[in-house]
Amino acid sequence: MSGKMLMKGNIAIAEGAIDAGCRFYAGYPITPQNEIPEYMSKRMPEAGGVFMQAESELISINLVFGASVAGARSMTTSSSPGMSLMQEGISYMAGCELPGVIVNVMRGGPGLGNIAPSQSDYFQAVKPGHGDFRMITLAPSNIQEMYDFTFEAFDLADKYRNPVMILTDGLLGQMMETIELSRGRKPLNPRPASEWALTGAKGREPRKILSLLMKPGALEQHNYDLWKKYDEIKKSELRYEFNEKEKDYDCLIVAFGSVARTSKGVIAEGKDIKAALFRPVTLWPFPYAELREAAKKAKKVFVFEMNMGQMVEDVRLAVQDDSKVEFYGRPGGGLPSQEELLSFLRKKVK
Amino acid sequence: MTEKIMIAGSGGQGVLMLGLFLARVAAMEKKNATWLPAYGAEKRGGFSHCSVIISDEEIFSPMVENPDTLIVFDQRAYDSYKSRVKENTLVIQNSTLVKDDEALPGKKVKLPALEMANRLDLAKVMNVIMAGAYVAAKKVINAENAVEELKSSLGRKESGVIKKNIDAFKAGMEYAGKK
Repeated sequence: MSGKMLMKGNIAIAEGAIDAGCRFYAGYPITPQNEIPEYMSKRMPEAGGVFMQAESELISINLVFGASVAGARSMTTSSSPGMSLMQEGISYMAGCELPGVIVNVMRGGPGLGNIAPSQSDYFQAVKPGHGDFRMITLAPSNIQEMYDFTFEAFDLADKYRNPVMILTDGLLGQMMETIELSRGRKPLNPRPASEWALTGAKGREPRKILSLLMKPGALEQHNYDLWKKYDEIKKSELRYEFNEKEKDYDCLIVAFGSVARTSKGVIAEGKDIKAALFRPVTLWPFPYAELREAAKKAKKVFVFEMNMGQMVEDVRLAVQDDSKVEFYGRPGGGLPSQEELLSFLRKKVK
Repeated sequence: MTEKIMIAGSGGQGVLMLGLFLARVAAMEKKNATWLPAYGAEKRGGFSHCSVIISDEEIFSPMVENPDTLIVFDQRAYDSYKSRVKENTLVIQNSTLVKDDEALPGKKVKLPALEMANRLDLAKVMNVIMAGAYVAAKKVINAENAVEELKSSLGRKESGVIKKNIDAFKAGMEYAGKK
């Protein structure tokens, strides 16, 4: 497979993982991410890896935990309700400093919700689980990025020995788009598992990987150490898309994932409005300072989301001027159209 | 060039496959393309539709609100989407199952795709006939590439089936070309 081809978002995630050297996948069926486990059940054995259909998402994440302890590049995928079940395991992995890639193809909630696209798990991704931990969260906006970000997520997870999340939605999971795979690209493997994984202590000192630290002060120190790592991630791994050339704007649109691409259409169509797009690509770490700078010259900052207002809270923290910030969102699987967003923009600008 | 296509009909008529086919040919031609299916509790006979966008530029939202081309397989699909038809919209309608609304604007290609498919003794090729009509009526993708894609996507089928598909595609092209 090379050159330009048409690929479904969910399949691009699976291919990105295989190309990055992921050799352990565990999952449980849930729409709209079902193509990933289906495809992995065939592809993973072909690639010499292990595919496991778990009996629940709780087991999926703990299988990934186990594979990661043993040093395998591993991944699980699910959609919103399944992600709630994984929170305990993700926290354990963060506590144990274990790499792993977790993909959430978001659908409408709360509860069992529906199977339509949504961005309602932003909070859960950037403020995950129990305990003081953070997780790099990448938000792709097209199918090329579904592949690229998943590929890169494995190196990021290894580099920091930390879980990494791909936060996407049913629209990007289910749609197909032309992409180009870079099959020659090799994963960097920045921190080989042989240096830390539990592989049997023959010929070396035994290692321990655990998150239970009962000795007085030990857990407090562990948290300080984790935060040193998180501060390093904030400095080194921040990503966002902001076209510096679009200097001539008085409206700044902030959107991520699939809404960001619709927002680009809004800007292209609404020639009567001077607007630019700021797209956070890492949702954690969030580009606060860069967004603050970009918002300075804007009269209004518009936040568009497929929820009732989650990322907007981070945008408000960044902009530090609530009177500037306008929000438009659709919950429960509602898809904002280009026309709808443009008419909101026009109404507020006039 | 950006071409926004909306395709609608009933589950089993090949609505999603038609969209996929057009997007694949576009990819073969190094164009950008998106294909967005309506997904849900899909079943044979249920309402089915998809959006396809083909472009030389970056494609923004994959959702088609105002199509440049509307392809409809049956009356329910036609009634659901005809309000989106504008002066410049190309409407390709399966006249076997769609009663034309004469008051509707747009450039129309009315072809009896189901009858034509039955004449080829393979009702399943109705969507391929519609594809042929589209390729002839709107020169966005190349007919030869379309035939190539048809052959490669049917690769494992028996040769008789492949021939019927190619005949169906050409019949659709011819019908639309005459109009």
